[in-house]
Amino acid sequence: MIHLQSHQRLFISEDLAGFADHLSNEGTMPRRVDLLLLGFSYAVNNRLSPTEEAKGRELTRVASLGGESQLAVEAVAQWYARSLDSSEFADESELLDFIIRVGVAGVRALKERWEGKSKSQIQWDVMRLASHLKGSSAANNT
Amino acid sequence: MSVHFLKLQVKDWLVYGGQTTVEFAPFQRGKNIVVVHGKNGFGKTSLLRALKFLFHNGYDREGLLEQWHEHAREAGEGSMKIALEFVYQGKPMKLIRKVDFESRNGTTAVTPSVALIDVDSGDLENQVEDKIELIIPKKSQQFVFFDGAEITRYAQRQHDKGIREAIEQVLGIPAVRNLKSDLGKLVNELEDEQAGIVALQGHSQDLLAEIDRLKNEAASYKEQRAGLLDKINGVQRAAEELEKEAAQIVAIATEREQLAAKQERRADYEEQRDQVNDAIKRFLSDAPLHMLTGPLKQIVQEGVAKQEGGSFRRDYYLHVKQYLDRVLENGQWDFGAPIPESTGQDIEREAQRFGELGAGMGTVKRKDINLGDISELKALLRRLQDSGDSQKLMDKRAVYDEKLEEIDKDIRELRAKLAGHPLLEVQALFEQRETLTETEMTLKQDIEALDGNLARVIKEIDDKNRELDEATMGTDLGRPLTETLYTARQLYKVVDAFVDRLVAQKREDIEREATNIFTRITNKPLEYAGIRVKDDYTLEVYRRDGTVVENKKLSAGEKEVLAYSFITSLNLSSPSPAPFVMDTPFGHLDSSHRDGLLQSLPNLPVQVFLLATDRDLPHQERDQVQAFIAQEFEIERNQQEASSTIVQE
Repeated sequence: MIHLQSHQRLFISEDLAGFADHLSNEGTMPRRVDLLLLGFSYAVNNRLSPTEEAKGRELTRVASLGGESQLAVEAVAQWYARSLDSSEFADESELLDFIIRVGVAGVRALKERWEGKSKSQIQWDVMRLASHLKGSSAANNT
Repeated sequence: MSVHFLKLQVKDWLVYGGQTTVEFAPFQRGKNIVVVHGKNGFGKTSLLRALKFLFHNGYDREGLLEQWHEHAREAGEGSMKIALEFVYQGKPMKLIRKVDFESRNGTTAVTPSVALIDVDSGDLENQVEDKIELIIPKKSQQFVFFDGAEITRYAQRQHDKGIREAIEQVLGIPAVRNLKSDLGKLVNELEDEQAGIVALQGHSQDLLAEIDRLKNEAASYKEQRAGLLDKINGVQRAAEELEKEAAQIVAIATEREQLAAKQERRADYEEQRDQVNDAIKRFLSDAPLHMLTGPLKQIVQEGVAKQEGGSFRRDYYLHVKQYLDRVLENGQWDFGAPIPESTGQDIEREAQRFGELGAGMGTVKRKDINLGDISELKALLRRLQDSGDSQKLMDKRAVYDEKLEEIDKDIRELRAKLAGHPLLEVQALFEQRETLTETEMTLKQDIEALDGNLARVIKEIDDKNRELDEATMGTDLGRPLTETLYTARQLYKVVDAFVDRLVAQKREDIEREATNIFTRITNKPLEYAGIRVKDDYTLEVYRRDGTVVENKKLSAGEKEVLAYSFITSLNLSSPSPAPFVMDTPFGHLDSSHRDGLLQSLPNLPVQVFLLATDRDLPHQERDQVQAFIAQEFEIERNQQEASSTIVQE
């Protein structure tokens, strides 16, 4: 399995940078990169196609994801790419590019979903999504 | 003989646009309750005000314009009218109070008028306002038409002069007091005439001078006495204020303790909520991983299968290779058959192929997931599985938020209460209170001494007057005057004694009636024995053991019951009891008091009008008094027309 390099950098598209700033500033989620991760997970669960462009505003280095999150995202990204019949990644750059594009697709959908919602409503929604998906996957596995 | 209402007409009065007519059933003892149901703002209080206005117009021009229904007012001209047919002393009467509004030179001229008609003869009565004063005296209106929520003022420790006068008015005492005052004037006039006769005769000047001196002395004593009484009242008021302040301080101390306890509890809640918030934050930051649980489980399963499958096949391939190598080495199969030469090359090729396959299975490709990753992902899944239930966490936080909100509200209220209340010494207040009590006692002793002096001077005046009477009795001119003067003095003394007796008698009547009502309504019938009406018509509740319940220890509901008992007894003690019209009758009462009060109403020998919301008279309570209800009306509101009407149910 291809692993990301810790010095690689994560981005979010320019149109979503303000949204990430807003959520992070008002404490809806601790870091801007958490929104990207959330978007990635949301996109995978809803089988959203990755966006075309992966560049934009830099969020942070891969190292700051933390080992657990990095590994999970790497594994799921490659699994998801296979399920979308994408060509295999040649290297970690391609993998990162895919992760960002999937993440951005998810964030865009979430932005629409959370239009007009307050901080606590968004937090409730995140909790619900997390619980529901966790619950439904548990149910699927029983 | 009581007053009974028969028919009420209201035209363009406050919320009642157009004309509304309500006909009441003839008064029947035991079936005397008339209920007018109405929601807040529909017109219960407007009805109460209409009756007050009908009997006594207390409005000036602007006030009258304000009472006029708004749509009628918009028209600029017209009239508003309240008319009531009623029975007074067995005679049907009709009272009409009307106000005409006319537009003149850009302003509205307001012309009020009143008429009282003898219904049987159709004649208009004269001196209408005086006659109304006999039916329901202006000052006693407050005991006839009243707001249930405000009646507690009659259960105060002190009445103002207005209330005392109103009470005496209801009891018919002023008429007797006026007689006493008129007799006093007559005595003075006769004494002046007597003095003239004495002066004409040129003797007994010393006697007259002495009487004048004594009268002046008596007047001075009376003045001093009045001054001392004022001082006593002042001292009593100050003492009450001190008691209030002391009670406040005690209450404040309690509230400070409550505040401290609440602040401590708030800190606990906050800490617990912070812990929940941290757990929520952790859950939120793990949310993307939670959402990936499904794919991750699948990845782990596939990886494990691949790893396990690969290892099994490698072992198999290597095992086959080893077997074939051994066969080639031995030159024969395991069962002993030799290998043909031509087959040996094929076996060698196969052994090589199996060897390559086995070796190939042994190295996991770079793009495959390895065992280490799988093991880390497994650990991650286990951790996610063990993390808390998000729903429970959010619920917990909501509970703490609510608790904090509640406690913050309490704290804010307590702080507002405590603001501006510096810590005062209760002890200092008690000392001041003691000083005041001593002052009061001294003042009372001074009054007693003055009373002694006054009695002595009055006796001296009486003696001197007798001497003077003897002197004037001896003359033709003086004899008839002196006889009249003597009779007037006697009458004055009788009336003076009668006033005291009448007041005492009336007070006893009220006391008995109020006690009767109160003990039936109170929810502590085993503890409270009755009501005592003091000289100044203030009230006190006493227990069965004779001790007095401090007024401040009575609850708001108990004060309301006390006041209700008092004004009911007052009305019943008046020469012509009037119907009760009670707006929101059960303001502070709990269900027990409300039931007691409701059950006391049928015993009253007058009509009782209850202007009630559904909260004042819930179905259960209404059913309890169903048998005593003569009629029920509903105030209906046309919101488009902004107008109310009363309909019988």
